[in-house]
Amino acid sequence: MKTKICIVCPQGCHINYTQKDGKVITAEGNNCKRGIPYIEQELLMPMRNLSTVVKIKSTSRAVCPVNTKAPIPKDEMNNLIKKLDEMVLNAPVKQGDIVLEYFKDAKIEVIVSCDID
Amino acid sequence: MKKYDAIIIGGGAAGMSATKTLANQNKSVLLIETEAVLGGVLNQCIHSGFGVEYYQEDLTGPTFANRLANELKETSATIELGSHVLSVNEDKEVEYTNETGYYKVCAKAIIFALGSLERSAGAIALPGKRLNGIHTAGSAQQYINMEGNLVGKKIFILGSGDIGLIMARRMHLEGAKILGVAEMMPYSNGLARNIAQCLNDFDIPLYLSHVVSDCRGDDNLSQVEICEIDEQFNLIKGTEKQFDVDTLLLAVGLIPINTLYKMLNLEIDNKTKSIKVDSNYQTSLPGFFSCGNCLHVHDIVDFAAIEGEIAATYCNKYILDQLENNVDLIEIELNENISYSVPQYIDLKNTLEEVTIFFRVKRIYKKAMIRILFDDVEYRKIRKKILLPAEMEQIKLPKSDMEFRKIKILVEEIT
Repeated sequence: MKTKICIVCPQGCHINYTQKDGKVITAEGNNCKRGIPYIEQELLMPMRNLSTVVKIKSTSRAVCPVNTKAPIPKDEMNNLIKKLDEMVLNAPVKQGDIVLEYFKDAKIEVIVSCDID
Repeated sequence: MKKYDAIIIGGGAAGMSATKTLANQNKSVLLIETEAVLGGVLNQCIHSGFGVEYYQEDLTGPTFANRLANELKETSATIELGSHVLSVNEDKEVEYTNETGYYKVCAKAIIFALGSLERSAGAIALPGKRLNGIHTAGSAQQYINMEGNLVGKKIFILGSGDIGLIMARRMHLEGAKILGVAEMMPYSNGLARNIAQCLNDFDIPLYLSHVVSDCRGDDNLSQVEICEIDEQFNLIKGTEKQFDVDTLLLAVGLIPINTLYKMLNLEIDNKTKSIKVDSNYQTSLPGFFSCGNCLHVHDIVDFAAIEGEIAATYCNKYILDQLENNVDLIEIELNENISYSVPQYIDLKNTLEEVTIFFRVKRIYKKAMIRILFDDVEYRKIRKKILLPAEMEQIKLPKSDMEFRKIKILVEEIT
């Protein structure tokens, strides 16, 4: 039996599980049903949200917070940060504006986190 | 002197949500914020995990702040940014200044939503020299996330609360090496999921029951020494470990800002290091309300925002002269396993629909029972697999159930 901490919500359930070929056979400790798909995704390809900042030409701020629209493959985080480090945005930007988009195992979309004038 | 229905001091999550609630009730409201933008600490908390309770959506800190600020801008509320409050007196007169001058205004009611401050090296009597490279985690977070500057390349972190864990991941992703995180307690003070996704994901070691025993260097920090401690918090000789670093981040807790409370002689709770409020979020002075981190430090911003709504709802009643003031407040009694509760008092008469009591336990309890007694008779019991000091518990009491002269909350370990 192995244990994983579920990161889906702030409860952080410690889930004890057994698996075969990436499918969870038994699980205990998960307070909701979202725990099982989380573990199966972890076994297949861990996915994470990423937040960072991108340089921006603006009179009010030096950098603009950005975030992935949906979780991305964990192994892609460093690569994505490097790509974003090279970028410069121009103000004004609005929350939800797409900063970067590409495909690597899953669709990776980075958006602006808040309005900057 | 310009007079408002309410003045809200502090434009973070709690203050914005309180202002929005009152403005939507057609009250004239002034919100005073010291920074140039609304949002408070949310602006530098660029990670996600905010909003699940308040917006039923998982948002980043800046997105949460942005949404609430935009909602606020659609109301009639007056917002003063870059404005510093100098004083508040018992007549509900507020003096503040900003770039354009000095102002004195007054209101029927005041809501404090001042937020909290980080404990500093001095506050925890950090051993060793005061060197360049020792920062609070929150200031390092502000440098990187607001200004784009990384404070160091080789970093050690003291304190495993959420800010410490999140900064470990953030600095790691920006290319710094995190040599470890030390925690004085035998358990982490952060959410379990942050241990998983901030430390375990990047193989960052966590040293439990460890303190920083020395900070070395000339002008700049060059080495941090940590040491294991026993159950009485005494250093265990021979367990010292040295780390060559250029930066030490202190993530050793937040304390409610209390400067304005001191001007008013409000009743203080030594446990929260802040003021006492009743279930209307009213302080010991009628017409003065409080909410958010200046009342007690929350783990999740959503609860601070929800508290702002509750405080504003009762503040609205007060403005309308519908909040009866000469009522007997019932003090919530706690057993020795609970460190504090907010509110501290219950006002049975003015409660609208329900009262939510927030509390924290003193240490980890595995298999525990939360029991609520009304007049020494058990009203409800809740079985818990685990109770952590890092996680705020809440109990909701519907108004229809609340008939008592005495209320006590107990946490008991089940053996």
